[in-house]
Amino acid sequence: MDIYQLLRSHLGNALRQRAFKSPWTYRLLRQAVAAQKKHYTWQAAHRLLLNTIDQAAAAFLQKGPVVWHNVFFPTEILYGLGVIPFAPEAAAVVATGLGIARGALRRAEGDWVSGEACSFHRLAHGCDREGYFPPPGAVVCSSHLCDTAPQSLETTAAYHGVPFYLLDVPHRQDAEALNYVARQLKGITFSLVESLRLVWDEDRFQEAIVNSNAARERLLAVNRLRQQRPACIRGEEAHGFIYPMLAGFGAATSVEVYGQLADELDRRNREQRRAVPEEKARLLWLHLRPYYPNAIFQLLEREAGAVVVFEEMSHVYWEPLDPEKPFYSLARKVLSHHGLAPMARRVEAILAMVDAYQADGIIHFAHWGCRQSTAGLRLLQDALRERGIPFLNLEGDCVDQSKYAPGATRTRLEGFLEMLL
Amino acid sequence: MGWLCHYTPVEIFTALGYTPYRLLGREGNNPRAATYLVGNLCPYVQSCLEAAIKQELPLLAGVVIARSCNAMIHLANVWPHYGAGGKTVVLDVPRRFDEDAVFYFSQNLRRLAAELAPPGERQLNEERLWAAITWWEEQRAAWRELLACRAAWEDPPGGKEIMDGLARWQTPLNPQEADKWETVITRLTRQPRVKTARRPRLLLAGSILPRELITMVEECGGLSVFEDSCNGMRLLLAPAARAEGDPYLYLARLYLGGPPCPRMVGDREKRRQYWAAAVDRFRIQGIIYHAMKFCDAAMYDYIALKVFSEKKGLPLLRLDGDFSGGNRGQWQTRLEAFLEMLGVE
Repeated sequence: MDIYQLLRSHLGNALRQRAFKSPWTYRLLRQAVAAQKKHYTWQAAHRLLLNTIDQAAAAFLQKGPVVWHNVFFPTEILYGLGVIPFAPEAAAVVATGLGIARGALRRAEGDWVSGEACSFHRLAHGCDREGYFPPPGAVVCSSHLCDTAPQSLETTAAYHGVPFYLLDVPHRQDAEALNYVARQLKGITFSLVESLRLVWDEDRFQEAIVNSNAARERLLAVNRLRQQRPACIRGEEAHGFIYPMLAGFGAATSVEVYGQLADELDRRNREQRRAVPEEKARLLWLHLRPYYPNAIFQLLEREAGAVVVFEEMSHVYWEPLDPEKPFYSLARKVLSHHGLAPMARRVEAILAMVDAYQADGIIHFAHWGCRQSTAGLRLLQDALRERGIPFLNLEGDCVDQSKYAPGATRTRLEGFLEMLL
Repeated sequence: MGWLCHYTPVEIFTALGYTPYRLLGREGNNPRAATYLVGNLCPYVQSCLEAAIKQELPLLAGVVIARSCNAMIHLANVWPHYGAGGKTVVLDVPRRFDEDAVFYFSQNLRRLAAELAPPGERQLNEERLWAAITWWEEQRAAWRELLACRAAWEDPPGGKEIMDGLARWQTPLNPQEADKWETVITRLTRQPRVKTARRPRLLLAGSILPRELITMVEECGGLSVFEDSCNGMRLLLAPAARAEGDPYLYLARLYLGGPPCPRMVGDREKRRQYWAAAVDRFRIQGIIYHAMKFCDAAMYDYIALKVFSEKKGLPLLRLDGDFSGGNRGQWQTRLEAFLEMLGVE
């Protein structure tokens, strides 16, 4: 079933902004989704959707302080503080599905947000200023991997007149860097307690760390199951589970979702149910995918039998957290990101993924405006060429549908598949 | 020793016996650099890489690349493979200015000194470093004095002269040339002024200002009296008290505490105060923002400046540029219209 169609039916044009703030919207939506459990191929996806609706309801109905964060900020801190995390980049994806992207992007353009900036942030800006997003009580943002996020989120914090906390992440992974990041994390945590007048609850904070570790274990189990041949989940379906990775670590619900997904994958593997009737090639997907209707996965997986067996965003790059040293271990987690530091580190991680998932080729979706992911591709291409791994750099935009060229995309994909199959 | 970002403490180079040489890019397109970096990345960074690939740079012992923004991070990735020869040393620069950041940066600077030290010389002598700090501070103080004249004078030295001088000052080819600079700055200060027609006093802002923009502004009848850029006023830092005994801590505080670059996102209030002080002191009548293409920091810095200029009632013109020396026709038309609005006939 198309959840966006259902959402759109609840959020009629004239009432959109008001509908987001009405408890009835979430009640109806939740009931409608809950009633359709059997229509979901993956029960974990159903659980994830229900959790997301609950979290959105809490944010839009302002059931507590809402803290905006970018997708690389360690959310364990936010869950540990009991605030409601809200990731505008992830919400921009939902806005795309709801069909409000065009108007929101136009608004951002009118506010002088350059068209050269990442469209996730342009869209988030437009949605916020048009009243589609819940106002923040505070904004936190890490500086690593993306230059636009801190700029965009600081602008939003200034617009709403709320505190902005920057987590400055260096590129080295030594003891000095670890100390520097850990001290900032601790400072940000207690600044949030003070500015939002929260009650510090050590047990709740510990619980978030424990949840994070549990979710990590289950995601690792999911990833191990996805290494098996033939694949039992299509990449298009698996992409739906990236959200907890970007905004859900520290929450108990992410443990449930990944646990359920691991169980379902295990069952499917044992029952020898395949993702596609005939697996002709296995692909690794780098960066994100476009979130508006498009034919990319249809062509790759259903028509050509080239299954996307893993996506870079689901890679577990960090070691388990130490509940005794939460800030140090969160600092270590942040600094462990394979996209941080020299490109050689990302290349090494990608090559390891190729081996682990037995990938025959790689597609990188070059999202317009994401200089972090695209600028170092030459070094990756050189390394892949040495190993003889076919690579396609597919240019496009994850959320701005006007940048999607179906004909050109199909031609490039067909050319790549011809070389691969 | 080559360097790019103005958060690079050149004092360490001088103390180690290197002549600091700033990479200021080149005019023209960058077709070869674009094959190693993507097209929608900072043109200044591309331009520096292109200059290295085309062997247009003087012989360098190495290059220090500050990981101050995404584009610099990527340049640091490709430079050892495709850039100029010599060693490539990277330097992490915090985006905050507080005690933790100063301490962390000072540790990075100590490491930088060790990495740059010639073989056999493990630790940089602190006396030599203090001497280099003093030398640089005297040079910057002279520049600041010259630039401050523009606040009071009706016919101050034009922006073009100043920026040309600053460009030469950043790119000496040997220590003797660098030593001469104090006299050059003094000469610029004492140069007799030619009385010209009254021109609107302008603040030019951006990440790095291209020379041809300032030239064009002044050819069209404007007067650039304050250049808020990393090759303008930001480069000259700000006077700092020597409260520390540790030269690395001093340098960390000096650089992080200087006029903030748009990358210092947590310091935006300081940036607004910086603009406000410049507008009042230099009697600014209009602002021109050079938005470097694909510079994420500049995109949002412009939005903040727009809000600021609206509050101040100052006319603001945005000109987009790719650092290639192009866009002249479009710039000229828009500049003429802007200056006409400011009363230039």
